[in-house]
Amino acid sequence: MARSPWVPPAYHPGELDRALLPLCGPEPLLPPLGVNPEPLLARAVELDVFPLVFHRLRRSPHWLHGCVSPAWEERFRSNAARNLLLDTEQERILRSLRAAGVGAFPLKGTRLAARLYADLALRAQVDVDLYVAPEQLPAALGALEADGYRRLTAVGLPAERLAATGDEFTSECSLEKLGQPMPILVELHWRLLPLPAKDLLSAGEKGGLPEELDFLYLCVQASADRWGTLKTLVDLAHWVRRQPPDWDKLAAAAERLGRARVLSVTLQVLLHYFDLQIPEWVPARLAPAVSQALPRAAVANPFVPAPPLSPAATHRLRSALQERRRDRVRYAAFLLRPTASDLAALPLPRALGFLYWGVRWLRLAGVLNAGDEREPALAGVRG
Amino acid sequence: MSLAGKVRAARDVVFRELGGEMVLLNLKTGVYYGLNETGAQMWSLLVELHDPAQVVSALAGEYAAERAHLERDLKALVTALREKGLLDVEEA
Repeated sequence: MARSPWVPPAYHPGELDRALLPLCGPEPLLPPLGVNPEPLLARAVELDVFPLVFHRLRRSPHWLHGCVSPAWEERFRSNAARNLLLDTEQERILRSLRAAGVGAFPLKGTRLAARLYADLALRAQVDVDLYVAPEQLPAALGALEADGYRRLTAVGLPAERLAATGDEFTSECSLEKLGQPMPILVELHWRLLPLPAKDLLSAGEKGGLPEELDFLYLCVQASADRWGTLKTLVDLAHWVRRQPPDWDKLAAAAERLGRARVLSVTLQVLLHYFDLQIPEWVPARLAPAVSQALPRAAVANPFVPAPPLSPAATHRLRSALQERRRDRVRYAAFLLRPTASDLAALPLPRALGFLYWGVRWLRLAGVLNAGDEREPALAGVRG
Repeated sequence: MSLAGKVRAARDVVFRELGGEMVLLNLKTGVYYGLNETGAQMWSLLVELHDPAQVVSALAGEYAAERAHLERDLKALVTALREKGLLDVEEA
């Protein structure tokens, strides 16, 4: 496959990671006899791939029963029970939102686990992620709050204002249901990919994105973590191997939405770690989108925790991932718009809403403290 | 307890085959339980037939085990599930 200038960082895995990576792949290879399962499982927990690794080891012929702590078995079962709870709650919430006239659909989560692994127990999950159209965010929040959920973010911010903020990386509102034996977290998202609202609304009514957009969404999620989250790479590798996407449709969608760069890097990263069959013409077709170099820190190593990027570096990277000039301009304009954090920090009457633009720009310039907002300000950042 | 009563999955209990075992979860209490293949079969028959005595007969037709042995195992399972609030039992 043709390589772009953006190659994943040098990968010099230790013994544990050399055993772990093939065990997570879509065609799992068992570790050699003699590898101690205890540290291997602990490493799988660190990398958030424990359920898949434990399940595969347990079923392997040389897994020695009784040689590992029973706590692993309990951890696996606890994850399975939690996913069952989240799946049940997700279906209940979707029914409740439909009754409120909101067309929502799940992102990732148990639906992805069922699709890729045919078993909810094999993927770790902490919350229920749902997409709702921005126009329907107020109704969705109203329905969830009536159901006992309380906002953890954007508390007190009118939903109509919240719906006007965020981009595909930052449009999210977290809610928690209290008084449950296991706390349930829900995250609502209202922007995905640069898709027109009517397309997303229509996807909501149909219960989900078309397959190629769903795959592309997961690629964008991988890029948000600089391809440094092993769990996401494992998901994508299973998808490519077990249910190969319609490559022509996928490439066309990526080109149409200005995400060919993200798709191209994702496929290169996947090929770096996994043995996958991707038709030669796919990277060749995407090559024009990757002719320009990405910042050196663009792609992280999933086995070595990287320090978080500075806010400026994050923005530079996200801007560099926009392959079209108009998307880069749109991203720059987005940075100047008030964020949910700006709105929540200083409640102002609607008539004074224009002042939020000043707050945003002062925050960007570093004059005001950016606080702990998810969309980092450029304050105090060296180039 | 005897096997003469009627049983049913407790209200708010969901169950599904996950990770090679049957996982039972009480949504209200958060209590969960994993059943191996034999336990899963007993559970499926209990929620289908509601009658432990019939479950023993069904199992006896499938396993080459003594009826008394099956009864003892089923009683132990029913007792455990009842104590965990996963199974309701109406004593006869």
